[in-house]
Amino acid sequence: MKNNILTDTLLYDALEIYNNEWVTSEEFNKEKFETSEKFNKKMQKMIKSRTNLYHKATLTGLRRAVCVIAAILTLMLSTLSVGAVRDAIKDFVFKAFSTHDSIKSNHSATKDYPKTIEKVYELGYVPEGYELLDYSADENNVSYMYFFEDKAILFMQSTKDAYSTNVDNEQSTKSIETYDNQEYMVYVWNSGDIKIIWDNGEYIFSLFGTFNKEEAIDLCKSLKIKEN
Amino acid sequence: MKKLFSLLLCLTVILTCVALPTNAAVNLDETVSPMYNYTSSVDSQLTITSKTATCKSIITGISGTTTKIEITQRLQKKNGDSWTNVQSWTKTVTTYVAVFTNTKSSLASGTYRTRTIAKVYKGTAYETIYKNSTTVTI
Repeated sequence: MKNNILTDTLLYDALEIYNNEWVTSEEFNKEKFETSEKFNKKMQKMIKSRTNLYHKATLTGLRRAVCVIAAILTLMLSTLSVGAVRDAIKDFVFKAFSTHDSIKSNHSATKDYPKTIEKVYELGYVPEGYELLDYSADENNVSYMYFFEDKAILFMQSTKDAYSTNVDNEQSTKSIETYDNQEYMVYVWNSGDIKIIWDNGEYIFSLFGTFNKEEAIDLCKSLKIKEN
Repeated sequence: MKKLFSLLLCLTVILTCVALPTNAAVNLDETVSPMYNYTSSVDSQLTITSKTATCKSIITGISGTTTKIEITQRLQKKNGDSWTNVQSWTKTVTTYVAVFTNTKSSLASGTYRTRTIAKVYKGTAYETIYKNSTTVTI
């Protein structure tokens, strides 16, 4: 078997050499031969494919430019793997430390946003029993603190420029959830505490309290402009 | 086959770069690494209007855990590369949520911030959390 394979290989090589020599020799008369339809179609296809953009890019000097662009894209994508840069794609820029997240507003892409509080917001309702214990408002921040027995609700509104918070990330679970086209950053603790942060395009809001997520989201959605 | 292999290799490299998040953030905001065992969040804010500063510190602990919060709030002014204290206030609450607001008027030109230092207690044990506001220049 082995000898047959070697013999076949040698035979093919010999035939190829003979064929090449014969085609280039004076004895070969090109006019006697015609190419088949199938061969012609293949040749046309090959000629046509060499004129398309892919072949121009790979076979000509454009190759270098394509490589450079690909390298730049790869570098850009790799920078997106850095936490602080990647998360700027959402409404916030946050840096994750070992014990907490440091969160600020990502308003670099937004040109039109209020630099001071122009519209004061409040929760549409508070759960039964809660009473307002502290309310304070200035140009950049409004806060409401409610208490019922030993449980608190804290609702805050901030301008984007002034917003800066640290949130425990060791004992909480964090998620980003969307309801009615509004994205919310949700932190939940085993104690039953929940903190939700969101950006409505104009201001940053946060809600902290001890209730389940559905109750908390309902409160967030109840937001309304405070009447004077 | 070669093209397919090259394409797969490129995709693998690109996906690897995206899929491996790095946590390169360095805590330059605070001086001591906080623990956040009894603290859920800290906010620090500064507003300056007509040379009057309003400093606001908001600390939320953990219900059923946090028993007391001692807040030291400092209005600080930038002095070269360091910060000097313009005014300090303190407050203690025996709840797990605290809001602390103070004002200081007749400020000189410069760059200011609110520095919040919160000692958050569980019984007699406590942790110290630091948080600086964004800076305001007048």
